[in-house]
Parts: sequence; structure tokens; C-alpha cells
Amino acid sequence: MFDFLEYTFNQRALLAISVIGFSNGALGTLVVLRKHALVISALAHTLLPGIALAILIFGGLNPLVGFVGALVGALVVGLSTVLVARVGLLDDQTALTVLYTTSFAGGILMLDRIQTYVSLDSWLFGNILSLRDSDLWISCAVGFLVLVVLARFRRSWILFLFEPSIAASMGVPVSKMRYLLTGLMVLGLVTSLQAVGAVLSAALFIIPTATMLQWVRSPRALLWGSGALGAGAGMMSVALSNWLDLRTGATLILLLGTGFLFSILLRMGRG
Amino acid sequence: MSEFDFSLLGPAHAPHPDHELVVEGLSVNYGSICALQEVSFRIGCGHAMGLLGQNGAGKSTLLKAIAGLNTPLSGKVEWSGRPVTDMRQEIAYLPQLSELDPRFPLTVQGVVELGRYPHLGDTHPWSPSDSEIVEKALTMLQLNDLRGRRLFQLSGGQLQRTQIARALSQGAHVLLLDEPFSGLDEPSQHLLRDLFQELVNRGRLLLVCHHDLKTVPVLFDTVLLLNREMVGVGPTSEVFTEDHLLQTYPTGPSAEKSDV
Repeated sequence: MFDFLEYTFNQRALLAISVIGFSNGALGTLVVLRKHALVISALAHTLLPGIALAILIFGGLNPLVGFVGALVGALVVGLSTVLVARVGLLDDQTALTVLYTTSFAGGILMLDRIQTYVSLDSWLFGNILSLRDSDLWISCAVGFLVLVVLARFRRSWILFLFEPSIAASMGVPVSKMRYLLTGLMVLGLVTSLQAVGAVLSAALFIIPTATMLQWVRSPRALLWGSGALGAGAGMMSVALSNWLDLRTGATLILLLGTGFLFSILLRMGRG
Repeated sequence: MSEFDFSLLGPAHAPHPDHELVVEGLSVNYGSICALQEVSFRIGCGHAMGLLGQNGAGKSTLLKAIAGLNTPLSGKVEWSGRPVTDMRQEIAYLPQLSELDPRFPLTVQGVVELGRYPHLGDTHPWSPSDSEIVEKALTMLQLNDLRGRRLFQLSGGQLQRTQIARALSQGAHVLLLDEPFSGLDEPSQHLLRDLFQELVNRGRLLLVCHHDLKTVPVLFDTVLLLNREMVGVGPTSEVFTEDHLLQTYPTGPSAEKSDV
């Protein structure tokens, strides 16, 4: 039954997806409580052109190039959204959607031109099995960093998310936390990209917390619960996709979605 | 008589000479728009001060400036002789209820525990004395039975009491409240009025944005009238006059004024 674990790429996939599932699931609690579900969706799509452009400029992909590219892509689209919305008298969502879809399309065309070991398909839908050792280390480092930042500012996060003006009145550096959260989201997304691809990566942040919200009543339980759920579902998806010959990324999100549906149904049952 | 037991806050005390809020030459701009111009006043502890004015007159802006939430163009705000931004423990800001998200995953007790943040920061471990302070705050505001409730399960009055309990667990001397009576039913309003009285008797200073002119004389011993700049400040009996109100509400609610 666990024969698939004899292969190194499966072991690597299992480890990577647990780390990514946990750290991004936990980070998702901040994203959801900040009501940024749609923002992270859009952000996920802005990473692609950034990374493609970085490969074009630096002539190859390594994790640092990938991250810098993703960050620049996200920042450029984020800042232009504010500008375009103001100049064009558009609401933020309209401006953001115009910009992220356009840059995503540009990213697709750029990637078609670039010879990398990763296919466009992997960028869009993820390919956890194509992971190299260096990718695994990056994922572990990012996961560790995310959890350290979450834990280090645990009380500040709760206040910041609950009501920023109360937080600021108590001395929480609210605007710094806003930037910090954006940075963490980009970092987390870069790792999610490999696991589930650009199209589905927001789900890894949003669904675990949306599910846990049906069960827990404190931010701390929510955070760790969402992390555990993300990691658990990640490991199950590697096993399931091996047994049934399915794509791992899509299997993972479908598992999470099913768990969410059950939680909602049980909640309705409880009244 | 109040049904709340505030003896836990310590004995009623005469105004302490050091406990003084000093606002001097305070001006706040939003972009190029002047929201508040040259506001100056001082007030000691043991008072309830109503901030009155039309919408856009700068009431909330003044409250936020005192809470250290916006950067003033000029002027200073001090409590006990030190800038308010150095005195986070002493000053509690209570936003309008409509600004709180009742779905946020916190219980009543969880919210009251947030008040310990200025004392603990992120790294100090939670101690038994913190629990004790939270217990006291819950008891004082009769929230013991509601401590496990989520915020969406509370009435407006209960939510407002939760906010005040949070301020007390913070140990705040100055409470800044933005329209605390709006959205409360009649009994809750009476309860909150009694609470205010108790807090003032125990040496707290309350600064309250308020729009219902009819209730001003019963709620506040001091008023500050605002119309971007200060129209008047002082004891309600002297400052809350027809003349001043005409300057404060040039297009204002004449019906409400006739009730004064």
C-alpha cells in the first residue's frame, strides 16, 4: 500500500507538500481574517509573469531568481492597480482583474518561449513530483520562516486582524504588519506554485481556514488547525494520487473542498 | 443606582493632579483637506467629556488623534506630562460597534484578554496575574456568564460592555469612545450611562463622541463643541448653550436644540 514511498521523488513530494500545506494553511488564517481571499487569488496569477521575466533576464531559473521575479511581479501589479484605479475611476477589483489577467497572459506567452525544465502545464497546475532537492530546501526554509514570523508576532497579528485601529492604539505597528503580510503571502505563493500551480494556489491558503472556522473559536486554534489540515490533506493527496493515478495538486484541492463541504453540512445540522 | 460592582477598580478617588490630558494647538489634515484646526484644551481625570459637532466636524478625527492613530499636522497631545504615544497602557480607544466584525473568531473573554497586549507585547508569557485582571474586568462588567460567547451572539449593549472590559483589563485611565450609544436599545443605554458614572467616580477620564444632543446634560459634565475648529469647551452648564450650539450646528438640527 505504501510502495510508492520507495521512490525518492515520492518521498520528496510527501515531505514538501506537508511543509507547504502546513505553513500556507497556517498563513491562510491571516489571509482569511484580513478578508484577502480574492487578493491572494489575483496575486497568485501575477507571480507567473514576474518569474518568466526573471528567467528571461537572468537566463535561467533558480529559487532566488524565481522569488525576486515573483515579488517584483506582485509589487508592480499591486502598485499599478492603485494608480490605474485612481486615474481610470475604476474600483479596485476591476483594476486588479484587468492587470492580473493581462500580465498572466503575458507570462504564458513568455514561458512558451523559454526552455526550462518546468513545463507551462506545471506552472498552471503544479507538479509536486518534478521537485528537485533544492526546491525542497527552499520550501522548508520558507515554511520555517513563515511559522517563525507568525509565532514571533502572535499577539500583534490577532489585534491587527481583529480591528486595526484598536491595534494601532495599543502600539501595534499596523502599517508594517500590512507589508509583512504581503511579503509572507508572496513567499508562500512561490512555494504553493510548485505544489498546486498558479490557478489553484489560493485554495491552499483559503480552504483550510474556511473549514476550521466552522469548528474553532480562537485565532490560535484556527492557525494551528488550518496548518494541520493543510499538511494532512497534502499527505493524503500524494498517497491518493499515486493509488488512483491522479494529478496531485487537483486531488489536494478537491480533498480540501470536500472537507469544507462536510464541515458546512455538519454545521447546518447543528443549527 | 448602578448594579455594577466597581469596588474592584479601587476606591473612588479625588482627581489626581498628575492625571491630566493636555491637547495643544492640534491640527490634523487629510491630504490637503483640513479636518481639525488648532484645538487646545486640558482636562483632568474623573470627568466625562462629550465631543459634539456635525458630521465631518472632526469629532472622530480628534478622538483618533488623542489615541495616536493619525499624525497631526501640528500640536501635541499629552497625558500626565508625556506624549500619548508613549502611554499606550493608559489610553484605550473604543471604535464604533459597526467597525467590529462580529464574525471574528474571538470570545468575549478573548477580546478582554487582548487588553493585556500593551503590558505583554508579543513575547512576555501570560501570567496568573494577567488572568486575575481579566477575571476582574469580566466580573465588573457582569460578563461572567457571557465569557464563552462569540461576538455575533451578543447584543449591542453586551458588545459595548465587552469593549469597556477590554479597556479596563488594559488598565486604562483614559477611555476614548466613538458613538458608544448608537445602535443600543433604551435599557442598554441606561446601563451604559450608569457605567459611565461609575467609571468617572473611580477617577477615569471619558472622552466620548456623541450626536444625541438631548442626552448631553445627563451624560457629560464637560463638553467640547467642534466645527473643524473649537467653538467652546468647558462645564456643560456653561458651554452647552443656545449661542454656542448655533455656531456648532450652523445648518444644524434645530429640533434637537429646542429640547435643550
